[in-house]
Amino acid sequence: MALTDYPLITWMVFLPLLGGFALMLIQDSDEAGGQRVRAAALIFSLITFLISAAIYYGFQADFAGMQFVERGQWIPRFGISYHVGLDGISLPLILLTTFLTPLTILFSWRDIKSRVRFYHMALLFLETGMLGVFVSLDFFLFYVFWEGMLIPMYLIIGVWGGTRRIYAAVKFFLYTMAGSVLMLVAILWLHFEAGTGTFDILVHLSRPIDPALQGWLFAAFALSFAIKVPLFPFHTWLPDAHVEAPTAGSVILAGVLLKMGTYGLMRLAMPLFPTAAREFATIIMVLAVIGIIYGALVAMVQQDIKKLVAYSSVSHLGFVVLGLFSFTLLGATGGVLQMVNHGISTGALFLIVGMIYSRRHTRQIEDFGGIARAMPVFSIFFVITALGSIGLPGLNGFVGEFTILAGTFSRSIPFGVAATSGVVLAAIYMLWMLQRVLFNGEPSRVNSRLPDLNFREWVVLVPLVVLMFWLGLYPKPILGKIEPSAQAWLRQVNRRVLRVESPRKAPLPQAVLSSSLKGLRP
Amino acid sequence: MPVVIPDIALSLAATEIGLVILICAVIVADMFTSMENKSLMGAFSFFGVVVLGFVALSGWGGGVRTTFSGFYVLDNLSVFVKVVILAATGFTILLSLQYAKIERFNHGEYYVMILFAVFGMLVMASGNDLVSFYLGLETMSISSYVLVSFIRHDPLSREAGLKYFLMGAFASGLLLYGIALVYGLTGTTSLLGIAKTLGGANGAAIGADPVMVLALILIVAGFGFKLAFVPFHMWLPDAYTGAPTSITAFMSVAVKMATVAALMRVFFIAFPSVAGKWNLLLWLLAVLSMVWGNFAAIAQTSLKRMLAYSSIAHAGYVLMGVVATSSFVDGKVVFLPLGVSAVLFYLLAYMVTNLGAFGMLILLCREDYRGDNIEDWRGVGRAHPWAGLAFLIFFLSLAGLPPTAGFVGKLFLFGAAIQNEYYWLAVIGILSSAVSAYYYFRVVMVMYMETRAESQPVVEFSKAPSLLAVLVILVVATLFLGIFPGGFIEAARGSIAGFI
Amino acid sequence: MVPLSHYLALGAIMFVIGVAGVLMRRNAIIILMSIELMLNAVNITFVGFARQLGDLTGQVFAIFVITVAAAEAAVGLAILIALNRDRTILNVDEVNLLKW
Repeated sequence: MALTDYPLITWMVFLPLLGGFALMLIQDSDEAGGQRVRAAALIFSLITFLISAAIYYGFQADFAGMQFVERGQWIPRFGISYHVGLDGISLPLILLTTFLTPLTILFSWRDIKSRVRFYHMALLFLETGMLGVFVSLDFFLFYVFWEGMLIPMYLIIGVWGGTRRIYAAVKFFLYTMAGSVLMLVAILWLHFEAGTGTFDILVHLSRPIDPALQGWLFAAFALSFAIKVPLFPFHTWLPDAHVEAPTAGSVILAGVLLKMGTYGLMRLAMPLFPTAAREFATIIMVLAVIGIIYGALVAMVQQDIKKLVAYSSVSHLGFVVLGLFSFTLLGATGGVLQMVNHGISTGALFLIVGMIYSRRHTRQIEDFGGIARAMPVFSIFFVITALGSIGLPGLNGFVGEFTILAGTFSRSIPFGVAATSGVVLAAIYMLWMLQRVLFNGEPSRVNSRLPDLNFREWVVLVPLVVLMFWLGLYPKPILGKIEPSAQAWLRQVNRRVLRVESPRKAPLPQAVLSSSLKGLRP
Repeated sequence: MPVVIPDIALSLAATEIGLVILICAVIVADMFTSMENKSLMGAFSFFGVVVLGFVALSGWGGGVRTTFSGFYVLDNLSVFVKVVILAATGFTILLSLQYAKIERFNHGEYYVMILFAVFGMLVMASGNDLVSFYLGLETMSISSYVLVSFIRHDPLSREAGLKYFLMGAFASGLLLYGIALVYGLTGTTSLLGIAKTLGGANGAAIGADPVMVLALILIVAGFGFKLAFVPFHMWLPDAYTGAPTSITAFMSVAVKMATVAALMRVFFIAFPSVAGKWNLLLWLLAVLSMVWGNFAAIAQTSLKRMLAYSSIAHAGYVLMGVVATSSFVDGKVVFLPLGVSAVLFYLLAYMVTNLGAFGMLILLCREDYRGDNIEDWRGVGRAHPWAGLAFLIFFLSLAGLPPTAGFVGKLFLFGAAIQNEYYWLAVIGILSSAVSAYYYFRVVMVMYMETRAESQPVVEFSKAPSLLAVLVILVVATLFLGIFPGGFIEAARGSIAGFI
Repeated sequence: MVPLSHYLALGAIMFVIGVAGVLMRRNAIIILMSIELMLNAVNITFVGFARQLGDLTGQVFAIFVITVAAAEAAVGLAILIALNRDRTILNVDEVNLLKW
């Protein structure tokens, strides 16, 4: 029996959910119980990672379509089915998710002391939600995961976060919620008006949609994803959420959640409505470039390290969007790779910030200085990660950013130049921060006594750094898996749709009031 | 003169007849029960209601059958509505058992009045004539007036009763005058007869008569008051806040279910040829209810009052489904089944969810502590994770988030609106639903993210097994309807057989 | 013979008076009476139409309305009396423990 015959995706997606429920059975009232909860959560997330590794192993690189597909009837009356599968675009993101989750559990081993069981349940439920989004091939299923993952994240920020956690949690929730409801309208339109009577994503992808209507639908989808990415000017929830979330929350948020926005653009918004995507491309690229530069400039003046990293995310994600909307193979491949790279580097940066925060209980840059002497190993990790994030050749960030820039330049030189300035700015704010935190003179009394990394922190950081080098020096295996799917994607978004007559003529909002009113006139 | 006894098939009304027998039995049994044992009446009524639920269910799939000279109809729609109402009644009785003792209104008459109200609802669900519809409506309403003011020693409850009564009676007057005008114009009160006249040779002339328009406005306003659509809603927050919580729960689901079913029957069966007129009125009411209900709920500090406003918004969503049933092609109306089945499914989903949400309030209620303010729930989720989780699930469902019943219900309501090209309605509805997430999640925030103040009493939940059992069932049902709604959607769809 | 229009006009006038009474008067008893006025306007209309159409349904309906109105009045007055036991108020504006 071949590997692909097992329902691996279902196992991978629902194992964390199952694990979350299993945690309910463990008492966490005392310290030993808390340890048991942590261990159980870690084991569940590790098994999930192993399953995803098996999927990676069984994944056929030369095949561009969906693999490991599972399909079953769910609500036949409305054409809803349980339909999952993955391709070269979702595979790296899935691996990123299953890889980061055990690390965050391991990291928060000491950090989280209150309501340990509840916290790990939320983390595992969150993992199910994220994986579900990446593998869903049915709109209904997709939306269930998309919204479902909101609640655990809301709770993680709001319950275990910092001082302004409630404000941040509510803001995060409302932004995401407001964006996604319009997407729901568009999804329902696709189902009921487009005459397909199905929620299956693949069916909709294969059907051309009347270009005259694509604009509205694309806007509804893209708004939802743009808030998630977040694209300038929808980014204001992000610094609050990142800064107030506990470290594990920030890692997951930056590492995976933001990618759901770019993934959504790539998987749904652009290929479903290619004509509209091309029409909107310039506007979105402008916003992406503004995001890149604005994020970098704001990051530069931050006093709080975590906020600096948060704003750097706005900048980095701008690159991804830029790559996607360049409509080139390089841009698309680089975009996917950059999603993964950003997940690894920024995840690692948040972990590192979390490590010094748990030692010093401050994140203000001015409180540090010269701690490289006290914590040499820590500093090495910090430097490598920061360099990876700014795209030093040989480390992961370089490959992604370089391919994206190459793609952008081939399409438009001004955008390329503007984006390149973002790379330079990134180097400035990152290195300046490194200098002020790690070097810059003698450490103060408190800082000189900070302990260096412990064993658990080693275990958390080493895999991340290894990955950074691996992706930087030898990205070929992963690129090889992304490329066929990216090529297929490119064909999809570049197809020209001429007029399509819908089975039912379907005017969009301007005709709505009259359609409600037309009964008045006999 | 020979007396002709009409051929009346009593078996079709078996549920109602059984209910009357049950009511009489409870009244008689109540006389022989001591004050301490009045809960027995509740248990007795509960088992009676369960049996009646199965009796009602047995009418499923028998086609459209009428009796009492066409005053009464038994079709799948009425069976669906009756079963849901009886289920809601059973849950309400179980919710009340402990609560009635806490609030000291544990009289046998409480259960009798509930059953009387249910009788009215069942008649409404089957009312095939404006006469039988009106009688059912009044039986339900008069019983509800009593139930709302049932905590006699509580001034809030009495006041709520008075307000509800005055508005309800006023609404009846409006509705009746509308019915009288329709009777004068068409010469009949039978729903089918009205449709026949309006669709007949003179139909167009009657339909265009300004008196007909006035009649429709009056009927819509009457329904508007009974279902508390904005701008006819002002009685509802007061009545819902003052009433015993169990009755608030009961009214918000069962009264709504019965009235919406009657509304659909009256408008779809009797007035299809003037659909353009009433549909526009209902469109406006739906939009106003969704928007105002949700925005007014934001400002509330009382959880009960917040849920009251949210129920106005939910009535708006339901009305959206009713509006979205009509599709106009070249000025002629076509009723599409998706709207009605979405309405029915949503009412079912709302039944389990809202009963659960009010059940949570009852769970926190004690002799010295009402527990119906949002503040009272501070930190409850931290101290009592299970209760917090249950409330969270109900709120998810109310806000229409997956994987709950409310999500599937809203999905199909909005789907129906989009299918019939009511885009603005769908967009307004879905945006107001996003607003609603804010105030529902404010409670979640208070429960999980804030700590209990020193001055607040320690949370002590009721341990009544009946209450806990109901809440567990409702949580499971909320999730089940959200994850495996297939069978219930088919049932809702099947309810339309022979209806439109 | 009195034509139908007279009945209808009387009914309409009574109904409007009733509605105005409910909306404008603040005394609960008077509101109750105004509601009764509305219901009686309905009865006159029903009976007038029934006579005109030669159809009994309207008369039957009127009798039902009378019955229901009696039940309604009984319940309404009972609630009003209960409300008055500790606070001797009849003005609905003073019924203000719950905000309107």
